[in-house]
Amino acid sequence: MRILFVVNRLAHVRHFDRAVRLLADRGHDVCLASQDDDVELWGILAGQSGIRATAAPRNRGDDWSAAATMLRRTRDYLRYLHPRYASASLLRRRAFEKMAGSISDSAETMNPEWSELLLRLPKPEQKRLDVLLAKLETGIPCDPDIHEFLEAQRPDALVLSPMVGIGFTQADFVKSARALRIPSAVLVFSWDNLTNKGLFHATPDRVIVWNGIQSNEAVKLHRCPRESVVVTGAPRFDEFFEMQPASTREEFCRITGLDPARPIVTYLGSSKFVAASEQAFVARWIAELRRSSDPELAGCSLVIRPHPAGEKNWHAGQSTELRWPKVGEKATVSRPFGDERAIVMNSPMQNADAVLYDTVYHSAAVVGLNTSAEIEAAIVGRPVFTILDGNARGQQGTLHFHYLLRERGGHVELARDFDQHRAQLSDALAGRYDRPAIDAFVQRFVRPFGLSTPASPRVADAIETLAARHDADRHTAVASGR
Amino acid sequence: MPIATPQSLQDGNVDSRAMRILFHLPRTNVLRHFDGVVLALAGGGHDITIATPGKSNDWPLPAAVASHPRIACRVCPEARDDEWRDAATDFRTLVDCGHYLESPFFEAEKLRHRAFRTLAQTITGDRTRHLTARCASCGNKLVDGDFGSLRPRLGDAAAARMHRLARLIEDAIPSDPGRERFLREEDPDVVLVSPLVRFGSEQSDWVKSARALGIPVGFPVFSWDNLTTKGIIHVAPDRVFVWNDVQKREATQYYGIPAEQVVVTGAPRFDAFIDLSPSLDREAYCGALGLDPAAPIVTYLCSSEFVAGREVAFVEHWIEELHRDPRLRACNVIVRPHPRAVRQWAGVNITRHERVALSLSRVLNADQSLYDALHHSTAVVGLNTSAQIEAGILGKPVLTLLAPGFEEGQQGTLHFRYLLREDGGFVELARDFAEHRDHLAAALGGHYDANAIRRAVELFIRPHGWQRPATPILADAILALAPDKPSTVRRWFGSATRAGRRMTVGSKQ
Repeated sequence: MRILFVVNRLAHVRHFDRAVRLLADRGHDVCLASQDDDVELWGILAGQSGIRATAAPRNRGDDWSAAATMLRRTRDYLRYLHPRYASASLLRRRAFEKMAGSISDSAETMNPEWSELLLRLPKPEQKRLDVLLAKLETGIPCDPDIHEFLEAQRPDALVLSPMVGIGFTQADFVKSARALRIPSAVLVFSWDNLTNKGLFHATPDRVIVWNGIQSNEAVKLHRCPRESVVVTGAPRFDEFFEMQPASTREEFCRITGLDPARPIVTYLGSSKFVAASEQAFVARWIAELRRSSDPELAGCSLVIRPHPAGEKNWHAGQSTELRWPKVGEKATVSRPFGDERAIVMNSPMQNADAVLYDTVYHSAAVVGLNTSAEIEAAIVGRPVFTILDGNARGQQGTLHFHYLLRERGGHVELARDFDQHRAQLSDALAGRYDRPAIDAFVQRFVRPFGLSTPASPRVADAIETLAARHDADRHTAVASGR
Repeated sequence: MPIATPQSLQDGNVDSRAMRILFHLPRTNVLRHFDGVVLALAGGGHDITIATPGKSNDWPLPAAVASHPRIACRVCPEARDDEWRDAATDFRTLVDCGHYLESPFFEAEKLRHRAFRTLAQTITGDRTRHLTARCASCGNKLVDGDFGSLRPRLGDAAAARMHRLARLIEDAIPSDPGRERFLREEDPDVVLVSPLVRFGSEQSDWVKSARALGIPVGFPVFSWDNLTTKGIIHVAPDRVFVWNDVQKREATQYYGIPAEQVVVTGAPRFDAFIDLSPSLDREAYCGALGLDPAAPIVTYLCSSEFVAGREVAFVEHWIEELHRDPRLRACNVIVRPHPRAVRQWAGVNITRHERVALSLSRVLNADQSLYDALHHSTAVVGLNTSAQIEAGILGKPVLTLLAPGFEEGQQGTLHFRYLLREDGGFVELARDFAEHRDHLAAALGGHYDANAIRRAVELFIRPHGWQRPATPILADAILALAPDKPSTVRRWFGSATRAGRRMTVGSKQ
């Protein structure tokens, strides 16, 4: 069967590359169509027979291009007026700015503060507007370019990811697929995707999600039929689950210049969207930890791992380039905070990052404001902590932040202030944390079919089942002479 | 009332191309501006159907219309009969509101406020609910129309994008099957719609369905302010019948109607007024109102509540200003409340002022009491109202002044400027009371150019010449809209084509 993936960036395939590879291994013809014109395959996909890459239309090619974006961004903004997003001012503002940007020129007045104006719009009125915009969406026809592209590819199944960019064009692929009777699926890219971006705008035949939370989100927030949602677990972590430390503790401390006798606490940086001025916060965080009355905490080693899409220029002053043992990955280390026992270390890897794995593995505790790497830390079994930072509007200003919190069934311990945070960390350094709770979270959130059951085969199964339906339909049509 | 006969029918024969004309009106009261045209067409042998949704509080049709054997009235669908029922109207209201974020409508604060108020009603779907918010800058509470005061502005590029979006969506809204059914049953040769530009206008669907069935559609503009104070033309009809070149420019510039589809006919609504004559001589008229027949009369024409809100206090102040001026003190004053705002004058004792009378009337067209008041007046004053045109028709000097508190109803509308002398009109504008008193004194002294007034009025309501009433011109233009072949033949072709289309669709299925 022919499986067509359409992704907005080819690099995003890293979150489900094993599922792609599995489909090819099962004999299917897999095409990865990228909307960023990138057609160079890498890693386990490079040179693999049965897998090819091509460019997919980036935007609509007809008159509707700007108009459809404007309409969809308006609807995306409206979702953030719902009471469930009452405190999500950051998301609301981003959606508003995107909407305003699609309508207005920069010189024209669209005050970003207006994003909050309609916040008290009662639910019946929100619903009426949403119904209106949903109806207008039905007036948007199939795009000729996308239609032609799908006709040329003739897939048995179309898989889209991430689908949820604000005002995104992937809805047009679903529309054309439906018109051409090609079954379509959305493969959810990450844990926050269904709550903090745009709506689907067109309902696919399948939604492949990580867990029960996302299943509910797909049904409740994106109006997908319950029976169209397939829970598979999160394929992006399959490789991480299999990883082993590439370095011993001694090696890790030697190459990073840290004292092996001291416990390590790792700080995982967040994206710029979540935490706009994180370096200032980290400087304060280090100082606060050093003030601890617990000598273990006050004297611990600190590893700060900037987010790959976070603030730049963490390595002020001198930095050292390293090659990681065994895997040979590059890492950069520096001490920009004037604290010998506090290093900043990052690597360019985004998935199955050996540097991240080893860092977390050798840590006694992990801290972060709101980032996916907190999940990786849980997979390794480390206790994870967060503290409210007033400047990081991507904490309480998002819905997904709460998903990881212990008080909401997650694994992350929340501290309201530094006293509480220090106390939590001291307990963790002393080994006082609930490991079974961490594992239970990982199972529920990442591998709902068991910690030893990887998600990628389930994703491949779901796509295969979907494509088989089309294949069977086609054969029936041929047999009946239709 | 004498009915002007269309030019094409002046040989006295019934037109051999007898046509079926369907005139859709949201309410029967809209007919008051076109009753002469309808009667002229019917008198020429054409069959007219007046289609309205049949509101319980509709006005009865004028007797001449109701009793005419060639004029029928039918109740027609109001709402769409498909899943676009609410969405089409809601969407159009949104677009109408967006119109007031663009130049030149951006400065029309009052109109934008009303547009947002209408939008709020659309969003809430209920007049008892309101949209509220706190202004992010000043913290003030915003309710419904107040959102317009935030002055969100669309530049030219943004406006162009919005227009494109609106056009694409409008094109995507299908013709309403319910209206198509109605039109097939009626099988008219021509469809007319007016006023078409109400916010969220469901009349757009009549235009759309008529066009879908290949029936030509004409839109006679209802009034002088209609193309600048309400919603937009969402679906272009085949013809727009306008009063004058100002409206032609509005139709082409603001709504993109091709110039060749706009026909200047003049304003038929004034034909009947022009044909009136005074019902009383001056002595009798002044006697009836308790005025001094030897003193000149100044008539104050009140404006609609939308333009002027409660105008009573201002009128009293205006009277006091007149009485303060020795040049004006002795004149009589007639105050004529707006026919739709007479209630605010209940209990107002305006006649406590010396030589001041109140002339109450609820008649909106060809009002004899208005004619009499204007006929016997030496000068006329008003803030911004259609009756200023009627005063101009009678060649009276018409004055206005920028009134504090009424800025939005005056400069805050586009049509206010159309009547001003400085913009080619005939209304003399004063910036304050002192200048206004001077203008009045000059007018009472006969220092005004009656010919200039007449010329300006002629251009505005009878651009084809003062002796050429608009009614037959519009009637002729409507007849010219129909395909140039006998209607029975066209109808036969039409039904055959539709039957063929049904067969084609059937065979595809």
